Amino acid sequence: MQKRISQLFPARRDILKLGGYGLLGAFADQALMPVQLRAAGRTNPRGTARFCILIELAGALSHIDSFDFKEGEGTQKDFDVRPIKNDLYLSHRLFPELSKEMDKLTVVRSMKSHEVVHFRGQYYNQAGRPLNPPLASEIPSVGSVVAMELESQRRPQDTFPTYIGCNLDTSGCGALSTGFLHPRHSVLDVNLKSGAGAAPSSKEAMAVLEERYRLLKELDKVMTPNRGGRDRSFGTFGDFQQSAYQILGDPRWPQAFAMSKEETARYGANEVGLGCLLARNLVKADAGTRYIHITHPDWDHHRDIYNHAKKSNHYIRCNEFDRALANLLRDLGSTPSPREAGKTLLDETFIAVATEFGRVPGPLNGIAGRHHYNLAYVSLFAGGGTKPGRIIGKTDATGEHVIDNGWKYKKSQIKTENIYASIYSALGIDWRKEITNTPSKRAYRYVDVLGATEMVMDDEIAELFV
Amino acid sequence: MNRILFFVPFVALAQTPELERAHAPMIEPQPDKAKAASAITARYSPGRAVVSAPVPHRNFIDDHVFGRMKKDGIPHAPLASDEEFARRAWLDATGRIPPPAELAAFLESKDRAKRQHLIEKLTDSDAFIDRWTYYFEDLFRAGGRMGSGLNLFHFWLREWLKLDRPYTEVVTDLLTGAGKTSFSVPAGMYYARDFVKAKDDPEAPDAHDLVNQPDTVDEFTVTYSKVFLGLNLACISCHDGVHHLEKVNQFLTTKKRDEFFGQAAFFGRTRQIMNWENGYQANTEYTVDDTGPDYDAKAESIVRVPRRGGDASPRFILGGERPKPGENHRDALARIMTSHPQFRRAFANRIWGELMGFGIVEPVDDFDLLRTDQATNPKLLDALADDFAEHNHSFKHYVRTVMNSSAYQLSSRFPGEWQDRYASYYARKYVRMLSAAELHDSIALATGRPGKFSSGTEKVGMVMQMPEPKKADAEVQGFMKTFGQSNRDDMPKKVPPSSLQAMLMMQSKVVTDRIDSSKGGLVKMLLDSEKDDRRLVEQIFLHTISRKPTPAEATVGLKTLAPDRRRGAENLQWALLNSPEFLFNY
Repeated sequence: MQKRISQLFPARRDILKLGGYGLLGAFADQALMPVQLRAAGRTNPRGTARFCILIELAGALSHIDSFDFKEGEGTQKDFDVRPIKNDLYLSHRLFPELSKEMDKLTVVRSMKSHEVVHFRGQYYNQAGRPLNPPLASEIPSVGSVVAMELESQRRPQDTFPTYIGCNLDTSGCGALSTGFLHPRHSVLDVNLKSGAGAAPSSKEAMAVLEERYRLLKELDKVMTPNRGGRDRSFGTFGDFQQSAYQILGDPRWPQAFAMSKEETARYGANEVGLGCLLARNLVKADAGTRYIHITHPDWDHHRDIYNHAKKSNHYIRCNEFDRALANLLRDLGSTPSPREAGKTLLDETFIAVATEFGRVPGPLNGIAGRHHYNLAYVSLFAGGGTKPGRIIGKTDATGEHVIDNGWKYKKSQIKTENIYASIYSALGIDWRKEITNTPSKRAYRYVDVLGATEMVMDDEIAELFV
Repeated sequence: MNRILFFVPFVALAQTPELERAHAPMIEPQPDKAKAASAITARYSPGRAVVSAPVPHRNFIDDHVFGRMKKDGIPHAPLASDEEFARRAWLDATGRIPPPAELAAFLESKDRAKRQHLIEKLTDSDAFIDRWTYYFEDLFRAGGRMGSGLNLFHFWLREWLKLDRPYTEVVTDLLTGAGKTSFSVPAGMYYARDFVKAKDDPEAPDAHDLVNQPDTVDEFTVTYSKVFLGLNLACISCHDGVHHLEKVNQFLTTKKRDEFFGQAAFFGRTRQIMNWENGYQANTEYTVDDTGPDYDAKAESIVRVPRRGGDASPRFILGGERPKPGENHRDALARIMTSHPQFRRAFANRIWGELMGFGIVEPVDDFDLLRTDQATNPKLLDALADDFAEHNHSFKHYVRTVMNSSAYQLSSRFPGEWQDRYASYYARKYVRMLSAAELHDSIALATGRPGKFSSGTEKVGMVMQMPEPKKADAEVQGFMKTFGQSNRDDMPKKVPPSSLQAMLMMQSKVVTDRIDSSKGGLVKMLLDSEKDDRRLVEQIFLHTISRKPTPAEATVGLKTLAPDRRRGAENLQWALLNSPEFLFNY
């Protein structure tokens, strides 16, 4: 008689129940609508931004070599470090363009991450909360929650999806699903470097597509009875088709992807450059897209972080990011808003730069790189109602520990959750709302207080705005 | 709260008040008890009585699946029609839609056991080998660094499925091979490919020190534990579980990093030596042997938090069994692991999930062995695992057993009012979108325009016949990536449906080129051979969505042909390829 697994591992009576049935409900029948929202009514979202661009430096930026510069054994001779303001210094070699735009940026230097592993860290940056595997399939990405929240503001002329991703496919966890939200809130993820999905149609192709789409809809009507009683996903693909067709048929779509040689050269023909250029075009077009998540991959320099001979090193990544963000700030900052006199597109666009954690401060490790470090790192903010040029938080002489959190919670460092609370706030969304009818029956808080390692302040970073 | 939870059948264990208080934020507050109670009654009472047509119990699976539904008063869908069953069986067994002639023969047959015979025929076919080789290549991440060893690995996998070698033997091969990977032990590619490089520029001709051995072993241990045991040990590969994983995995909270070292130590002596010539890796071939030092629990790590020592003697993570005196450690691992119940449970669950839409335990790579509510039907899972073991770990037997059950053969269409909680009972067949490779190959078949690929030794037309998707052209690769094709470096993951997928189905050359009748293919062939428009419409339906049109559908089809027969026929196939009846396995 073979031993059953249940005999080998007797059940522990005091196990806390998590997920259980709920997980299954989430992906066996994806759509759970309508969501039941409960507003705590304790927040006063600012509503200062119409758009949000989140740039994720995936692989983790070394904070002490960038926006929390600390001179040390790891400092390279060619860094050309120059003072910016107060105790903020920046390498002119790594960030020649952003050095000129620092008056537009706010730097937060008191970040702390729950995570030290990329997969989990990158999940955290898309879901706004640490990964909890039993619940993972019901957790939507923050962009999808934003898409749901802003759906009522969509106008008839809005054809682009509310949430567009750039290069999310390069993230360790890929593009997250909408979880328990309706699939229509999902991201449309494009990778301009590999060209996936970006190709707009020619006029002739559109004429053919129009004819075919009409036939599809006509057939749909008579084929629909064959769908009754089946899983919702069987029917909801039609929603994606409709959205795809509308997008393809909108002349603004190819325009958003039209990039001149001059522009591409200015922004850089890489993931973050092309992503920022597309984001700029999407904000200019104002055709429905409100939330853009750009992934800038390949920052994980455990070894040879400053080796010029390597195909991937800190110089290359920093320079790519530098050009992309600086040009985005300039272009948006110099384009007047068509909605409000005296404002620029940058005033209406909340830009956040996030990375999953920092890198080990001090001297380089034995293989000339820097490993992961989560106790102190940086994030950047600009536009969308933020007060530019601020410096929030301060670390000790080596960049190992935060000595001033720089916001009203003196004892708590700033976390990814707070970045997202600030995004929600800027977009006018109450970040303390929760959705109660999730498949697992566990309330989904927009900003969860239960971090993986410690409780989190479920608050915006008010110091960004005032 | 306790009362409420008591009524919830899935919450089997009582919650203590202390725990409840400690985790108050996790538990939904109860604003109105009366309202909540009535909501629960509505939710968990059978409601309008739905009487399910009885289905025959074909094997033990049905006793468990329908027994559980009967016990809990859950209604279920009726058996699928022959048409519905056949398309599903073809897709699940061979990854392709049915060829119209073979489908017609099946539908016309009066044989009472024809479903069983079809399952036998399909699981004996070459296409079965194609589909499941591809599946296991995704799972084993065949590609990338396997380099020149990939083709041999590909043929070795095909051989497993062709000969139906016991799964225990196959995994033993994957874990224990020694020698030169590319030529004598293709299975050795599985672990050799995952080495973590320690440095780039070797000075010694013997390049074994290029590999950071403990890091390589850690990586591989995390990988194979997921694949073979359904356990995700990644967290305890860096730190103890307690105080870290309470929210993540109860079982792992009882495990220490030290116990992970014990698991990793089975590979402690294994070396992967690159073939290095003149300062370069000469080819992607490795020599594997077991002459290294034991796993060092204090070795420097370049990818993990520092190792701080601990017991690093080899011992199995589940139960602590050790190698016998004198036994090669990898042989011991294979022996202990392949005879452990969790080994067959993990496999049974994974393949069940592939055939039924989702596993009895989800995620399939993340069992929590201390959670009694994770498996939706634990007895079924154990029974499947035992049956698999009792039949010599035969993969073919297992697939046939599942496919022959009435549980598998239920219709995806539920006649009454569907409730989400029925899903975990498998009360109707779960509808799933075709995988990237299934989609590509089915488009190729429906349009009569196979691709131009290479299996490594010969020309082939199906993606599933290739050793890896990277051998396809960029257009096909981009298309497949959007539909969730793994890159073979990461574990396969499911992608959500998206507008981008819809866009590609509408305008990718993978689709539009193939229906262009000026380039040949099915539409061209039918335009020439079928003079009757009604027959033309019917044939396009049969070749694309594997059924005849209804009168209303035929009318739309005929109307489409009227102004321009060629253009109409192309458009009709395009529209059918874009319909859910093509895009889904239902």
